[in-house]
Amino acid sequence: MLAWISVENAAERNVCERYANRIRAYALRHLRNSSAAQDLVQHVLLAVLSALREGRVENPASLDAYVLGTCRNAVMDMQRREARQRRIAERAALELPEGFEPAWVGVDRVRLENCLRELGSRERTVVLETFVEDRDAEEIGRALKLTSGNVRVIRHRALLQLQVCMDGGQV
Amino acid sequence: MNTCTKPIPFETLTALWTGELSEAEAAAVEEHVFACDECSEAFDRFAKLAIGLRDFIPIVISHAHRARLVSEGTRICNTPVEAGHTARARFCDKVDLLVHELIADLSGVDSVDLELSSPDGKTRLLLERVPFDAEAGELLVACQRHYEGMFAGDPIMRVYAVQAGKRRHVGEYIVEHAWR
Repeated sequence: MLAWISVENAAERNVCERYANRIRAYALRHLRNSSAAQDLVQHVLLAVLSALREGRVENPASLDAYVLGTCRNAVMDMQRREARQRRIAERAALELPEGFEPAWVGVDRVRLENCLRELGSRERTVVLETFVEDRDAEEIGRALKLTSGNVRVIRHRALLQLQVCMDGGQV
Repeated sequence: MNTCTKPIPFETLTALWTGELSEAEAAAVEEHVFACDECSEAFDRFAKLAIGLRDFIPIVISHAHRARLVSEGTRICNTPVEAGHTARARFCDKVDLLVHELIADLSGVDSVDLELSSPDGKTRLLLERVPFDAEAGELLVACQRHYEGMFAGDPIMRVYAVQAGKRRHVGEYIVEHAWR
């Protein structure tokens, strides 16, 4: 059993720093909403810290799985009860370790706009149809008269180019 | 930070985000991400890009996208614009987004292109295969606050329709903007 309470601030801060971005990325994928993802980070961190304080995490090696399991349950819960998000966030904001803010900087929108302009017309269309219009490869393929396999290849290359551009590298 | 011996390929991240992995495959990726510093960083970077794209507002938006923005609380001022006429739109404090509804007969067309150019023709931007609604006979141009100054003067918006491999000019549209 971990003695988290005796080293409360340092140990808990380490947990928060290790998992905040992982939880957020997981939440973004499942909830597709930045503010809901932020709420989930706070909720999961709070739940994990509570479990550690109460000795419910017996093996430190299993903490990754414990955090992921907590994420899964919380996302299902949030999807069932969206209205609860706000209350969770308010509670978490009061109870997380003092000084820890799971801050997250999203993408630079102007940079993203410029990077999108550097894509070819077809590549840009595929990316926007995928993420903005939430269309799958089959639907996009029908509209552009391409096979779904072609759409996936175009999308993969375009996203890779965008990621490199957003990271400030050469394409 | 640990170094990963089996980094998640970029294709897998894309497939994960676009829902193309099975539940078991997605769960395996997520389990790896939670245990691996290197892959969690890659996952986080991809998440930022994906959510940035999801929240991105292109110059031309679909009717479904406009409805989603409204449902999320975006305050939109819609302005119908006829070809060959000049409309006016004002970006007052209570507006987050101007949407210019370019009215055009787009029935039966395969795709639509929009060209934006400054009045002096020095700045041009061609957007191909933009969303349009043939039934409503509209193309929605989403004008954002940071576009102020993108063109020297109010841009001329030229709509082109592509049908059976042929491209035809549909009309020219102008909106006079008041930016505050």
